[in-house]
Amino acid sequence: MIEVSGLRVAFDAVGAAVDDVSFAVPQGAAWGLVGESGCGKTTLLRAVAGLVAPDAGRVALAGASPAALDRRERARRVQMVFQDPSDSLHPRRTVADALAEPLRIHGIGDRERRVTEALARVGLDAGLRFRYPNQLSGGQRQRVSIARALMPAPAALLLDEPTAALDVSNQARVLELLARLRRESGMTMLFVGHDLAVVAGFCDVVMTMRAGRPVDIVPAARLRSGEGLHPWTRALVAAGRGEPAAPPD
Amino acid sequence: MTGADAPLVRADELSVELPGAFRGVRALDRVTFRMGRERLGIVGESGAGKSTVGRCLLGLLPSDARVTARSLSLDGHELCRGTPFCGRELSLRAAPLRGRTATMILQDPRQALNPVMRVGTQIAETLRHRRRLSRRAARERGLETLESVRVADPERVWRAFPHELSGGLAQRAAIAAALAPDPALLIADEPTSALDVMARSSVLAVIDEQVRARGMGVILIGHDLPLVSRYCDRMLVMRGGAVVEELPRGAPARHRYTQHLLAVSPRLDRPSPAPGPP
Repeated sequence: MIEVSGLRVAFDAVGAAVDDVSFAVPQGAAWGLVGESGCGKTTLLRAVAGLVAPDAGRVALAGASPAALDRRERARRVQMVFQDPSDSLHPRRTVADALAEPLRIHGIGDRERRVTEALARVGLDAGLRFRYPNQLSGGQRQRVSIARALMPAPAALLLDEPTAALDVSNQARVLELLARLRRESGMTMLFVGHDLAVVAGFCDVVMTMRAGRPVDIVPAARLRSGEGLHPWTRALVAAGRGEPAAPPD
Repeated sequence: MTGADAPLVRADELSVELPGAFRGVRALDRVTFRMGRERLGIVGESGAGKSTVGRCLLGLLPSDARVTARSLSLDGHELCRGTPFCGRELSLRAAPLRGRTATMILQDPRQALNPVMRVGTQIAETLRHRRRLSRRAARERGLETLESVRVADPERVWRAFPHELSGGLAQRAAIAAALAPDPALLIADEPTSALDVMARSSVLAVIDEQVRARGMGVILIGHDLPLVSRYCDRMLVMRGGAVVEELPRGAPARHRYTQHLLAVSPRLDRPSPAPGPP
């Protein structure tokens, strides 16, 4: 579903943010991308979403490059959920407005009913539809931004640290919601995070990155058992446990 | 002024009511605890009142908040006793202690540090005002403190603006600014929530090392119970403004809510997301 080969994205100021990355996420699978701040996870995700153009290599969404797709078609193939819902929701639009906008853009009718359904789907009360983002809790806001991403019924969901701004209880609830959505819809998911425990709990396969390059691609089960891991991956595992481990050079 | 055996912090039935939309809601509800020069953790979800405890001790509440306590003292100084106070009064009473007896580090170093001021100027500022050091002495002490929190190139960080530093480095600079005046108590309010896991463990290790070396007390506030417990002698678990359980290090959680917090903490050896709240 998501294919990336030899991808390189460079910025003038910092050089290559992502370099020589190749992987393929099959339809319906959930993959995780883990690494430190600044290792290129988000840039990689943005390249998959077609928000930045690759300098080399290619990205394919169900066979087509995101750049070659028209915007609406692209939106039906991938949608993105961002880290901080306070930044990604318009502060002066109600929940109902935020959810109806993609429907308007895609010319989907029966908006009233679909908005109510979308709220129910992410476990929010229909009464919240007339609220503004600042009248919601952090967890509720993230549910709204997930609901909005689901509106065009995308084939794949790109999740950029979707629980990093939440406390542990809300994090567990949002992860539970994402797991349920995955079961119900069979959506392909690419989950970016820095906490291996969170990502490995949700994904089938985890790719660790360092300085823009992939380090390890391992099934989540093997992360748990810990066998045959790259030293960098092992350092991330240790840090996730709160152990003060010095990262290997 | 300070009795040798007087606790560093004594809070006896401390309650806080916040103004505005939250009027009538108790941000803190009869919170009682004592601590010496030890490592105390406060854990709970967003809105549990964890930060309010820390802010209360520094007198950093909204000016029209209502504070009541049978007794609230910091390093032997009575902040509040019996009669209700407003936030402004509390602030005045805590002012001589703030930045000297107790200092604070916050979640996001980029918001805690002034973006248009060099890091060094900010560290020196506290020392010059709070410790009455000369410009040169403040610089020397500041650079030493930066070095003590494992900043590899203190001179560079001293001259840098906050945006030129990585999150972990900026947080260590903020820690240096908080430690430089040699406080008796450091209040660390979610010091690693804005950092990635790698920076997280190094920042916590640095705080721990310095707190032990300086023989001071620390209140470590966080929502990740296993992480906080790793760096504390005991923990207060808070919910809805009240302390639900006090947990010595390594003791099993007895309260249902504490067990819930443990259950929802992500762990590598447990694949599926844990169930919802009790």
